[in-house]
Amino acid sequence: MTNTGLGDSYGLGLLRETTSCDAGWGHNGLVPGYASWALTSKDGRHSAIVLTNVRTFPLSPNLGAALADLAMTAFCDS
Amino acid sequence: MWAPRPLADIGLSHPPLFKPGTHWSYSNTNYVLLGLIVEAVTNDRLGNELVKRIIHPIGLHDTTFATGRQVAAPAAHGYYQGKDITALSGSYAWAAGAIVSTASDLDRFYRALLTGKVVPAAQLKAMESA
Repeated sequence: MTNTGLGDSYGLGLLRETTSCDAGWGHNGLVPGYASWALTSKDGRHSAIVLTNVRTFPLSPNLGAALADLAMTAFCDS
Repeated sequence: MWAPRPLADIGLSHPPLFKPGTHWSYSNTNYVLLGLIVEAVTNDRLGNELVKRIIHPIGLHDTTFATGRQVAAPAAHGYYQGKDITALSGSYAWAAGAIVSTASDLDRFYRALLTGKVVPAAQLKAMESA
């Protein structure tokens, strides 16, 4: 499935993101002022939560990609 | 301040993006509709059901359903067009995004969800595969 920016695939309120180490399950979020990413592996070995305040809405493609990269890197380093 | 039904009405005033079952697209309106279904089935406010079924049982001590004009302090300040909008009511998002939380509570929530402590196994499987 094409990566839509909402993970590789989407279930019922839950997205799956393929990373370099394991599949991450969770969701991202964006509202004016704030952005979030949550990724946790099924076995709980890997988990990363990225919460940040922002000053633009929507995010620029570069910032959106950087936050996703940060979440995936932290996920695999955890 | 927004009420859920007008939010749903705005979403439903637009034509569908595609025939049901043929594709998917993220939709805030669909989460608002789910929240309305929760309220219809339980005969209770969504915020109360979230506390009763998820926030309290899992022990999310710093998580609130913030549809009022204030968020519980301390909170990171958010900005939009040069203005501090930290106090913007979450009511415009309601079931699609009015939860205010912390990194540790989100970690606790997803670990609990993915290890079967929030919904039964069959429903979790559906969440992962639909």
